[in-house]
Amino acid sequence: MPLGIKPADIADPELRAMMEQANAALDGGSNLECVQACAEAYLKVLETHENVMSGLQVVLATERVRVGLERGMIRTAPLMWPRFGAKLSLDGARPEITFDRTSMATGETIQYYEFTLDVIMQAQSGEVNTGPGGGAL
Amino acid sequence: MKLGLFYELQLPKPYGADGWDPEDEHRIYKDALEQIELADSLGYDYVFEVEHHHLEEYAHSSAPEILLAAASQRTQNMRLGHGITLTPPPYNHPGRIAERIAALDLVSDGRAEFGTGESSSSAELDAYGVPWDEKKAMWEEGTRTAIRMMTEEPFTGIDGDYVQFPARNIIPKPLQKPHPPLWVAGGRRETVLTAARLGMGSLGFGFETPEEAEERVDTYWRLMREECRPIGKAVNPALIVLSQFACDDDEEEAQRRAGDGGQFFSFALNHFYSPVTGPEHAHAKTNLFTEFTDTPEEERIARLTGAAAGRDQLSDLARTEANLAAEEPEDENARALWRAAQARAAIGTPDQLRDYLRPYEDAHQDVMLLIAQAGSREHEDIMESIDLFGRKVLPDIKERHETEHRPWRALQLENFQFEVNSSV
Repeated sequence: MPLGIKPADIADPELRAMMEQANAALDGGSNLECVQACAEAYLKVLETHENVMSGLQVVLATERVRVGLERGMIRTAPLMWPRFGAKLSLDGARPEITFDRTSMATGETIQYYEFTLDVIMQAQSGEVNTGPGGGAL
Repeated sequence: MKLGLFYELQLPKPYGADGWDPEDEHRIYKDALEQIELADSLGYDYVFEVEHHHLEEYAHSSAPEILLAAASQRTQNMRLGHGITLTPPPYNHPGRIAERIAALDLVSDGRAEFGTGESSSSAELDAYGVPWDEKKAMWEEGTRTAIRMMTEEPFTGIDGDYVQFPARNIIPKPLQKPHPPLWVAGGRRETVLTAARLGMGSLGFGFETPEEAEERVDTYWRLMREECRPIGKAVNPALIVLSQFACDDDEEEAQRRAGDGGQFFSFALNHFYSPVTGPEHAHAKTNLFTEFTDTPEEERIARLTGAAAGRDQLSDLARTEANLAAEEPEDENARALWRAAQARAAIGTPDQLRDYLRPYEDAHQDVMLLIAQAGSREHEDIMESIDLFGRKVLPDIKERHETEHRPWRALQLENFQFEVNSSV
């Protein structure tokens, strides 16, 4: 995926509105609000794009990611919601993101925002990358 | 494009040995100072040095402020960069960072570069009590606080999530105003986006191709103009890329000089940063160089391929090496040359290095840092590489920097809304 994706590049109107809200929150310095909007958009992508969910399962099964998660030593992986104060759970009937903190640093917020845009664009293009050389982030 | 040197201060243990010769660490520090002094005399613009802790053999540079201070007394013009200072407060209190950066800036007559970062190895994070999921937040609060301490008179105090400190006047203040140029390190593609949005230079560890560099330059400058909310009082619009480096008039000799440096660099980085192998490191016992030497190439590649599935600092480099290995020729000599050509490395003759670097110049990259010291490369070979490149290649690049890149940057900075402090 290219760098510098904007919400206007998103075709799905609901996802576009979510990321426009996230962008406005980021610009306004409302970091937590931005990350919450990104989380909603990410969960919607997981629910509506089977290829993203199956790609995520592939990523989570790789030794590096599996061991990293077991040891609490990995924060980011392709398609995986980054683990900075808000964590993805796939244990329940539906994917869920829980917030450990009520504040987010600007750098964390930017990373969540760019990650979510990238996943949405992968879903939109149908080209989900899970392995070496894959993905924009 | 400006050129500089980048130091991890690597020190592989002798093959099969339990440890180093007692003189070895002394030697690499003295050798590095000699290399830096030579580079300064030839017109290299930067030296950047890492801060890492406990990463035996991979990086013996845990107190970069000391080596940079020593370098300041042996050089005249070279910029002295922390590449980086670890700013999560458990590593370095922001008050001490502010004092040390200012002092370096004073003794060097205003040549300090304030690079910042988090680190990503369990050997460091776990030892200093930096939680994995909070290190980025810690980096940001530590960095913001250090900048405030360098600029506020008096510093008005902080009651933050990770730092509590009363109102005090932090002295000395840096010579450069409002503060030295700011950088943030990272090997991942989105780090450049974070850097732009925070008004920082991007110290990229991704070993990007010129094509990747061009895309990042475009996006970085657009975000810097349109979306920037500076973390400091002045922004530093600048992008750095790294490359392995060895030079000789004879191509095969350049390959010999490069030796195992690039491969050991990748192997050791993966060893410490991988969640699979990093925690298994036996401190003061593991001989990483022996393990590197004894590991069949296929196994090394397999480990790197695993690393490429991650999104950590190593992943871009690992992808490069994994993709590279998939196609390399079987013939040993052909393989060595092909690898040098494909490995995105500044290794070769002066003409080859001109050809290698020109696309990065054309992509408007600001700085290329050369990793001359890596693996078991010899000091004499490093000195000769620095000397030859400095005499035969560097002058033309420096001239183009003045005649082509500076005017291009001036255009980018037209109507820029923030104060700029950049050494580019």
